[in-house]
Amino acid sequence: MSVASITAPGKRGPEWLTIPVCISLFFLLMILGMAVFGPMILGNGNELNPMMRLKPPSAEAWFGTDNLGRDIFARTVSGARNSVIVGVTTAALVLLVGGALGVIAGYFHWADMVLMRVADGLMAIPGILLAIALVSLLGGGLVTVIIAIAVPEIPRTARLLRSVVLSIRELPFVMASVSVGSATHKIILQHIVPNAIGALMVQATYVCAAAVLSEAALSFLGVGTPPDVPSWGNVVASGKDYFRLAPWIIAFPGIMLSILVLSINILGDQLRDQLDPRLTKRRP
Amino acid sequence: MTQPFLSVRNLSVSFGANGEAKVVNGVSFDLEAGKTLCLVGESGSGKSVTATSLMGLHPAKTTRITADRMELDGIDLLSCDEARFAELRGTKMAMIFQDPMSSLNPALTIGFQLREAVFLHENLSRADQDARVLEVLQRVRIPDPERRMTSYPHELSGGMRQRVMIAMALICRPKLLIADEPTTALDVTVQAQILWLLGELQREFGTAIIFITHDLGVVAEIGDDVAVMYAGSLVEKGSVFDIFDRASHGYTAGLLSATAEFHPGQTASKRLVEIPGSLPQFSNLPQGCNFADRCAFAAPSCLDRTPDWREVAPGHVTSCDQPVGAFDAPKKETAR
Amino acid sequence: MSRDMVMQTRDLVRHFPIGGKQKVHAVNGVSMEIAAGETLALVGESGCGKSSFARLIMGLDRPDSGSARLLGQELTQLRGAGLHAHRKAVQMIFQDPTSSLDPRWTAEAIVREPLDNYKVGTPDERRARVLDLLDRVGLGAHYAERYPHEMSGGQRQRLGIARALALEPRLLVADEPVSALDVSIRAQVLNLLCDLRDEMNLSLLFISHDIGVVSHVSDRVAVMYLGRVIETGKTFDVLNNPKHPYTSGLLEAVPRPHPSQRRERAPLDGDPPSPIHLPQGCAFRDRCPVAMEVCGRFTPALKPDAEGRIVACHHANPVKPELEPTHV
Repeated sequence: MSVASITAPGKRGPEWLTIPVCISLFFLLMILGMAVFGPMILGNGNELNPMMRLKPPSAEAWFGTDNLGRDIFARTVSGARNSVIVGVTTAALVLLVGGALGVIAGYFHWADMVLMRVADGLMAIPGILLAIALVSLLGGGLVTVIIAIAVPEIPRTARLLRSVVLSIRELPFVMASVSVGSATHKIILQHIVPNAIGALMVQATYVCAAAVLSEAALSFLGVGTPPDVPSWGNVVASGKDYFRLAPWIIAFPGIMLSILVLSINILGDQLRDQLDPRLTKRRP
Repeated sequence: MTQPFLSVRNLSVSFGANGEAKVVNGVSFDLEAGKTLCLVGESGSGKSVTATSLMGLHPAKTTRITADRMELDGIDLLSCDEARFAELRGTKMAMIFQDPMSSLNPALTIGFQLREAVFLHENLSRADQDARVLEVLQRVRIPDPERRMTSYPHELSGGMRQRVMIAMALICRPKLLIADEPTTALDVTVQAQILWLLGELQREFGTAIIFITHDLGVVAEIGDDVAVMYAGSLVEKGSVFDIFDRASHGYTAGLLSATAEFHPGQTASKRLVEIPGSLPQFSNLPQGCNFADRCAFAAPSCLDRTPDWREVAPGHVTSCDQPVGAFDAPKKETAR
Repeated sequence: MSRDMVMQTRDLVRHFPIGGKQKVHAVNGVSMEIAAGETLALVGESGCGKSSFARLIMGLDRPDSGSARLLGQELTQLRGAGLHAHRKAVQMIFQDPTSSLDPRWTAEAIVREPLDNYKVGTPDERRARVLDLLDRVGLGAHYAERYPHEMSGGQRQRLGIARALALEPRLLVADEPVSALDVSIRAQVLNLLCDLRDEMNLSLLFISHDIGVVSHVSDRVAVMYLGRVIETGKTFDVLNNPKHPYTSGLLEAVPRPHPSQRRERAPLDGDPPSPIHLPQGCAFRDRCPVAMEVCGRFTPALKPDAEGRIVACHHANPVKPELEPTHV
């Protein structure tokens, strides 16, 4: 029985467009809009205004101001760009590299030992420490931050994918595909990867969300993106000393961060279900 | 008239908060002490759910069980709560399952798990428990039982594990044993051993057995009475000879003729009789007789109205509108 | 043999190492042959090596020693393109119709996969061929767009059969093709398989533990026990007059089809020995009701007895000490 047959007849729109998905889509588009147009319209929000220090939200400064009198609204809107770039790029990088390594390790026994020992070694170091070490090694900047966040996530993703692939490759349909003469690369790309995509999507949304948070953490620690380019992380970092005095500095970018992560997670879950024919298409 | 040992009348079971999934539909049967009733059916026939309802194994929140009567040895099972069922399980009734490996804890020894079963119901000293465990392991013909008490489940073969499960079920001498496809996962030679053992134990202890299976060969081997289920409903009920010689429901007759059997002297490559179509989904049952669209003997009326129960012989009832004797069960060679 | 042999194996051996110096002796020297158009049933209990043997024949696994000739080609030496060509001639039907179909592929894509792999005809011809195959296995063209989960178990197994027949193989290996299906569905699928076999003049290696099914489907039977064939012959002969004590025990253990024929004596006792530590001599002797002293010393060879029946038992083929070497 499908969802559509339970809901009232005459309901418009496809059945995957549920209320949480609509809300998530709305917020995601809003944040993307902020990331693209924010800096053009509002600049970087770096204008100092000594007369307006630590002002609570008002008609003049919607989200209040920080200790240097910078407008939190402008900084939050503009900061979306950095956070989104870091989140999406890191997720894509981790997915591509970690996913490929995981599939190779899971399908080919000869690669498994080597790749997994390297992954174990990397995973023994706490992720944030590794990121800090990489940033100090490579110097600051957006690209460095992305690499620094991606590297500790890659072995985790590779490990997860490896275990998923290990269980898929033992299923009889893989053997069936071998016996009808499919080449190895076809089996991997057409049977293994599509069946691992659910796990991959969940992992991607997790990595994306974690990357936004890690970027914030790195900025908070002062090794993230340069302070003159706002990101939600360094806005929060700049507000940490004034938390009792001016909680709005932390609150607004924090709320945006939560909304972004939540939206990505909800959409990721929906995407996973959407990609699984067992959960979507039903015919009598 | 004396009350039968186990009596079930009009048992229905549905799952889901609103009872939307009706998986068992008005099942009635009796079982006498020391006899074996075979519940025969395919996947989705409701045979296992019928049995687990007797054991009180369904959470009350998500399951709706209704019946006119459900009595075991004078105990009204309908009025039992979870605590009462826990008391009855093991002492009055016990159950064995298809897969003995997943029913045993892999981290504990056989002896420990059996002692636990005794200890749950009777307060005995450790030495008495051990003696009891040893005795029951001997009863289920486990070779070298002293050594086996310290073995772990993975060290035993499938047949031995199923013997341990039987030992665990019988350790407190229940009056009713429910066996849910206990030999399906086993090889034929081991299946024969387990069936033989169950027969021996039944004669020894006078246990009544409800044997759930899809295999008519096993039914012929072990059943006294047979109840055939299809898509959640009982379709025919009678003695094992009634069913095998005088099957009067289209489904029973179809199953008997469609089963590939080996008959001595048979020349190879004989075409099998087919039952067309596929099993209905319980969420989408056809109108009228559930089996009508697959039945070789269906009349047009079978598609419209639910068939009545009729007694074709004393104790042999069928839910089929076709006149009795309109068709015969396929002839079977009797000599082997 | 004057007849055209589709498959011929000689002393095929496959041992799986399981750590340390131990190994599972899955296949211990199997010699078997299947003629064109013949159905050979491979009978035995779980762990007897029948599925491992099937994997060797399919080229999904390599033997440790021995030879396997398929259509005159030595399978054990095939690599790359040769193996690819070989796979076209030998196809398989799997036990579990659900897990042997990719849940993300439609019926059409599943049946089309082998045709695409071997570039059979133009894409349009392939599509026509897929629809024709679906039709032949009793699934109409409207099933082409369906996913496996939208079908019943019997329909899924029909789909598996269509995939196996797409390349018009010479030999079909069916590994317990109906044991996962509901009883009322089995006859349909078995009849379909037999009809298609006869139509396409296929050779069939039918792996099963179900004597009833085997008696209906096969021309010849090979009974396996602990990685060896212990008896082989015409289905009628083996099932009606078994020569090996294990075959007798196996047939005895099959439930009688009628309650009037209930067993009156205890069945064959015990379990097969572990395939890790093979016993010396005949593998069946621990359970054998007629075991002799010689059974513990020599492994009986599979050869014709006085009646011409092929069996590996010292009772059928008494050991002549002066002729037998001391090692086996």
